[in-house]
Amino acid sequence: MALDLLNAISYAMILFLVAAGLSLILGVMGILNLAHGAIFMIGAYVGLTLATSGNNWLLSLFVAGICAGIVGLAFERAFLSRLHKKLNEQVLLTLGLVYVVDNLVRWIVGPIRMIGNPPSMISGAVNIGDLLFPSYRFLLIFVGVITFLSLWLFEAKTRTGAIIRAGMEDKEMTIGLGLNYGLISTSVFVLGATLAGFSGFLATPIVGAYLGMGLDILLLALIVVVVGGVGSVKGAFLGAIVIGLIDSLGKSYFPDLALFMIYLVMIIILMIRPQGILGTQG
Amino acid sequence: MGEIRISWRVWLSILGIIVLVLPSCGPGGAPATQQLPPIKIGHIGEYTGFVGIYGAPQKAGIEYALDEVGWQIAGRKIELISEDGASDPATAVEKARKLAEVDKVDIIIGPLLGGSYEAVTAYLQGPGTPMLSLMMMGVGLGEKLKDGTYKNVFMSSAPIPAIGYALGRYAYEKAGYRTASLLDADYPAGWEFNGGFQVGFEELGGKVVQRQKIPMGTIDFAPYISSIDKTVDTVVYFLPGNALLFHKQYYAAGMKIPLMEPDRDSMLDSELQQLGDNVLGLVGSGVWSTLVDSPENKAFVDGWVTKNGNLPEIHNDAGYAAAKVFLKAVEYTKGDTSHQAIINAMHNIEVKIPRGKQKFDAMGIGNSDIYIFEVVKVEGRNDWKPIATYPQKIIWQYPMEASK
Repeated sequence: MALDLLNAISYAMILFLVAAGLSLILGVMGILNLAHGAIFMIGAYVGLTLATSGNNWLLSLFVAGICAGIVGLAFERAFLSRLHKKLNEQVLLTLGLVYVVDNLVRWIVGPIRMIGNPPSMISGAVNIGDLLFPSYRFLLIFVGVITFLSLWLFEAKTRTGAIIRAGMEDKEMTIGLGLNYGLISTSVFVLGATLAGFSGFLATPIVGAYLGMGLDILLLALIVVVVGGVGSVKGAFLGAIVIGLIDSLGKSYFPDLALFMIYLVMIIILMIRPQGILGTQG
Repeated sequence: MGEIRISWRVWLSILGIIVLVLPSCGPGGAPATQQLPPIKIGHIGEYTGFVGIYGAPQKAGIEYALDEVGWQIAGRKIELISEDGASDPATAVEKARKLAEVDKVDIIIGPLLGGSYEAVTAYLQGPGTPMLSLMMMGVGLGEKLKDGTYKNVFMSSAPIPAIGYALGRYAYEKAGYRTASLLDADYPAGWEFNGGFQVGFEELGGKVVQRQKIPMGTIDFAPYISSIDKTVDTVVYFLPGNALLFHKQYYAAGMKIPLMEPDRDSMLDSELQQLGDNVLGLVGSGVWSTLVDSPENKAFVDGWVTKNGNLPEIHNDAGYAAAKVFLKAVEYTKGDTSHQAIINAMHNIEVKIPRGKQKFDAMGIGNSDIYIFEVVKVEGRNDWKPIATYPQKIIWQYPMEASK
């Protein structure tokens, strides 16, 4: 059971790192960025390409995040900044970007699946009683928790965080107070994209890098956002834990229900609390 | 003698006839055979979707076979039309409709995915276009060949359980295993590969104590790995498209129970290299590797390396073998590519392909031997070395669950 819980939490941390950015972008900017998974994929391929070329693992991680952030900035400035409050256009455009990125990767890297290696110092497994648990998954849990605490403190305790929260409550009033909300929105978008890039590479020793991974992870991240609540770091964290636990424990203990259990949970939460567990109404 | 006078009209007529006839007679003219319509090969490969990594290498294999004959046979040029089956039966049928009705191809090779292949075979009963599989197919399709429902469909080898069956026998009688835990990709091919293993293993006295069904598209296998019965002698898995991830996570979890793979083809050779030394000793079953010892395979591998600078993959071989079979059939009919002529020819030819001799029985099922392979290090790379050979045995029924 302990092993199953650890597996579930480590998987949940990958979901959190992707979903946090998606949730903030949706909450702050009102943009449903379906290309978020494609940015995750860019991070995975960029980081893996660097790491397998003999570069330092941390450097690969850093560059993966930076590249993803730059791509995110380009998407936001070139396209999404022109689609404020146009949900249909946002969905169509960002879904199209998923296919553009997918085909670019196919063109540049080829239709091959790649898998990452953890840094050599944490590539082994740790004994938990009679069982073994991969050390790398502890790193994922650590990174996930640290990122959550950082984002939560940023959102709750800093002036910029206060502006973000104010903007989510009433964007027009926030702008009316003379605050540069446009710059903050763009910064949040880049932050979300950078997080997606980091997590794309961080996840490669578990899920690898493959064509179509952007849509796979996007689906799960959207479920996490729906369950946790839009625009809330705490909601994304809680949603990821809930989905990670249900998915992993479901596979271990109710394998026949594993395929649709997370969807079932999402439907139930949408019926009981449409704004998500920690989301606010309106 | 009177002088023969030829009017200018006659001269012009003679010159006109010469101009028209000359191109087909002289060495510089086009041969008369080029007037024949080209032979069209249709290929449905998976370029996108969850098995989307296999389409391109199959096409490259077909092209390599066509390069060998200069894209011409029996005096007719050859055209290859390749379409994306998108790992989706509905899309594959749409592409088959285009190939059969618009392009009017003479044969369709592929798709790889069992569900897509079966859907296309059903559709092709209308146009009657001959169809040849790239790899082994399911029992359901085999039964339609057995009862004569489909006469235009050919399977390159026995239905899927035959591959697992050979590995099951090897596991018991050569590897000495007595208990096994199975992980099936939860769709028909997954049940059939592992079901075949269970039949072969338990026929000799072994016992499958656990079978976990893993939903397609799973990327985190940790819950399944932690649930594996740790007392078994071997863990057998069939997880197409995600075998690489499973391996990585299996070793990362510190698992030491030997793995067996009843379809060694589900992991590309390039993926095998990414697993490093952890994967050495892995045993799997299949029909081909670069190390199969035959003159045809040596010629294929050497020629491929010379041309492309890299070793061929299993799906290169699959495309190459399928094209070679079709070319032999066209040679047999002396260029007649009517559907019935090709179908008759397929039943009568024997082709030497890299994996061995390919011949079809009366049902249309190929006779490939099943190799048991072990991953070894060869010239610095990981590769599948044949360590045993089993004649294929058709298995029509197989269990779906572990033994009680």
